[in-house]
Amino acid sequence: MSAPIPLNWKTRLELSVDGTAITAIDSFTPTFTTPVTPIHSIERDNIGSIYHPQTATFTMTLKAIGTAVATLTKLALEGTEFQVSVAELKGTDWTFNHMLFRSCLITSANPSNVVIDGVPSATFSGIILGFGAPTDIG
Amino acid sequence: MPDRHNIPVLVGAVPLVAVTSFVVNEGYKTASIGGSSLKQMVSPTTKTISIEALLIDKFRTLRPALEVMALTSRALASVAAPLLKIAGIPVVTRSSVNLDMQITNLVFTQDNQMRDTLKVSISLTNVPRSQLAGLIGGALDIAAGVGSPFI
Repeated sequence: MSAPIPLNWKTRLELSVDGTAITAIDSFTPTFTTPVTPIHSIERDNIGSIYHPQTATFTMTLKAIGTAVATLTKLALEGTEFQVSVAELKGTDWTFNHMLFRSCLITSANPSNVVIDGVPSATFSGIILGFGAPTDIG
Repeated sequence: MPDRHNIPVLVGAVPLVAVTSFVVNEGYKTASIGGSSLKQMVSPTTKTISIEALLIDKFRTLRPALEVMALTSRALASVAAPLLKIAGIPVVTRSSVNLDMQITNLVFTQDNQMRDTLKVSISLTNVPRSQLAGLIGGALDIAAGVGSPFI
């Protein structure tokens, strides 16, 4: 009798900016904002809903070592659009094979902080203009 | 009140199911008499109604129907005006009946904040046709006004 398969996470994800892997990344957090408000008529509550424009933002934190921080800071200062792709580097535990965020723009760059121990970390926040298309998720 | 019915506001034959605001403006005109504290009662003020409503998704197809009643083009006027000569547009809500109304202003707004939705703002003015219709309208309005809290 075989034991139930344990839900172990043995996968490493990789983040790429315009096809180049970003190394020493701590976290990448995309957030989708999908606002919908209920409609109330003069006679009844919650008769329907109205969809408002959907937006997506991201925050990534990485170690301020290597060239990735400089690359991202340059993209921020020049206001250049770029693509962010999350993919499986090793393992197959993730639900997706890859996830693509097109036309990203950095709205806030914090390339480094000063710490007395450990590696300084860099934080980048931005908006995603291209997301949700069927080809973006694989 | 979750099980309350969403009774639409009828503007002519057009049902508006998502009315967000319904304002009736009415009263009696008075005029001050010079050198006296007395006032002259002149005549009833013209009743006006302002309606704010949302036309969501398939209800957007009601826009032409409202435009026909508002006589927004000469072609529409030639079709609809003979009918409107006999009787105006009835505006019926759960709590009021207003006969012989006429659309004086119609504003459709489509903006980037509301997807697949038209916001319509309708201004109506009372244009009395016959005294009999006025009396019937008044009686129906009183009945609806007094009766509506019990519906």
